[in-house]
Amino acid sequence: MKQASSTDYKKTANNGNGLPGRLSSLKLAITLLFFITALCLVGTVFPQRDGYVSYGHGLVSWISSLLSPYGIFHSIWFMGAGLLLCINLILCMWKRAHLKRRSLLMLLLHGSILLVIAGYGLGFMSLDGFMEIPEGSTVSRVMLKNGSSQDLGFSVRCDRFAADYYPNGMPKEYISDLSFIRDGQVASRAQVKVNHPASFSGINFYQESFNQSPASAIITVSDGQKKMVLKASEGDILPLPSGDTRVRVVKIWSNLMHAGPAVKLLIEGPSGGRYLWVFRDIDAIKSRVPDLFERMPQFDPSGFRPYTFSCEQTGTSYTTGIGVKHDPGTPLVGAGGLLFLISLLLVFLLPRTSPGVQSSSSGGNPSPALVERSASDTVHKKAQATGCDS
Amino acid sequence: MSSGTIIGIVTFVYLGTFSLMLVGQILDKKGFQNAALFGAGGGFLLHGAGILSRWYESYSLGVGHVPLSNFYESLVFFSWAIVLIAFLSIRGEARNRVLTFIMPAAALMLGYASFSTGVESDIQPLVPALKSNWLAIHVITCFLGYSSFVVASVSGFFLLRNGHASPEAHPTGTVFYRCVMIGFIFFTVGILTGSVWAQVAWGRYWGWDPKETWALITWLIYAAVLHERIRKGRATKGVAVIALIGLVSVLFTYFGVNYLPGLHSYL
Repeated sequence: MKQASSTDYKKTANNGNGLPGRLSSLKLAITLLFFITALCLVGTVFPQRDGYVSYGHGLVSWISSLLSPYGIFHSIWFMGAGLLLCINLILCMWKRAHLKRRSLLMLLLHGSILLVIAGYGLGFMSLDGFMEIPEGSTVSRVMLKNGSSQDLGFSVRCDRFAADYYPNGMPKEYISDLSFIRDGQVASRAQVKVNHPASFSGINFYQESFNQSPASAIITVSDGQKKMVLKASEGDILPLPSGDTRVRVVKIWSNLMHAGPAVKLLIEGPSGGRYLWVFRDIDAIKSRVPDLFERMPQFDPSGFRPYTFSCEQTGTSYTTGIGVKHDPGTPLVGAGGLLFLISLLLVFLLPRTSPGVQSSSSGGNPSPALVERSASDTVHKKAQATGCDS
Repeated sequence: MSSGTIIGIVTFVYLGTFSLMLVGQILDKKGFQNAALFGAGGGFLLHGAGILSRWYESYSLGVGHVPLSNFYESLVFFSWAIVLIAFLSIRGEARNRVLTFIMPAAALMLGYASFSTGVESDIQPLVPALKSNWLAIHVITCFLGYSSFVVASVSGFFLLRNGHASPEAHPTGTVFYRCVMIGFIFFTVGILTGSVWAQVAWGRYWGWDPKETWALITWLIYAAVLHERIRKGRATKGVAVIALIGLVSVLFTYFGVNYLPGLHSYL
């Protein structure tokens, strides 16, 4: 039995000369595996850039694109080796189809790799972009990786963004509440978190990043007759009716000393500068500490005559960064991966129950390790099934 | 007893086991070797208890999650998994020899995890990126794959050393093929689950991130091992050499990638 399968293997191994024979050889397959391995290695050592990488013009550009280590996974070497591996796989499978024995499983195993590569190839049609949506705003254009932008045909509103933290300060959750708006109507709502994307109109939305905009406050200034309501951020200078006084917003807190929202102002007039802390809940604070203004005149909102300051609300506003993606090749890659796994498991498990193996191991070496599982049988079985030239 | 203490004890049990194995092999005393095997088995069970205890502790801290979320936890699991695979895949004389390599390796990993100042051993809550059901299955399958490859390569080393006329007929030859194949299956599942997770978390199943690329390199090298074995008809020295290159690749995929910029830098 062993002898026969070994001869089978040698026979198929010997009839492969010439170009088709070499293209379908296992030697080429192994060489390609090592070549792709080497390219991958280069690709991890040098930082990779998206797209076509070249320098200069004309011939120089062409040569530099061939030799550049910064775009390995899009290079002609990588794609060429991948293509050659596909040809090698197809020829090998085609030969095996003629052998007929146990060929289906090997066909599936290697065909599924072709499915994965084909699905990856469809990635050139994919949508890969990014949206920055300030809380409360609506955006319909996606910024693409190549620098251009694209209209989605519908728009996305960020109703709320929240960044949640553990007591030790580590991030716990980033959450965006999104509304998808088509023709002025909210067509769908979704909550997007890291690891929990949302889907609308065949496009997937991922929580990728966020930005905390500078804190802003609504500050009211009254001079007894007129009242001004101003929205200000840190560093802003407030225009006051009297031209010789400038008010700079130094700092904004959403909760200062557990006393609620507050702003710190620097008031610069002809007589010099002074700081004023304006609390939103100053009435409540004053009722708890009646002599507050005597002890802390800088907390008195009317401390700078003739003006009275108050702050209505303070807060931070967020901008959420949403990844916008669609890759038509994904189902093909998924199917290929699953098929590969199933056939790999079958290749490993099936020879155990095949009658050929049982008969040969029972007649073989009585060593416990070998009876447990005859590895050499598996090799011969595989050689029969492979039918590839070495 | 805290999980940290248990892991500390296991480290010394593994080291003691290794010494017993060495003495047993030098003096050729069966008794020492049996005692060593017993010690290794006991250490392995205690090691498992340590992992479970850390899992339990994370829940009592209110941040409950599988203990597979940082470098420390991965070292503890990796060292447990190589002992598991060595015990499951090898019988008889070959097991003792392979364990003589595996036990000190496991002890070193545990020692590094416990005593290195660069390895944070506190139980931390999960960051948003790791809050996924794919975490456990992805990490477990990857490390079972790594571990099988380690055991395979160690048996491959014996194939090289023995210079056996037909290494395949040698017990370690059987172990070699079986471990490469089991490792290949686990690692394939690891890469596939990682892809699914990447698709869910980042919107791309493959991004040529250094960890991903190195996983592919390791996978390709062991694919080459399997194909070279078919080409030669048996596990030759050449096949064992490729497997040893694969071992270097496994170690780089696990440790080395941390020194390259990428998304997996926390593991």
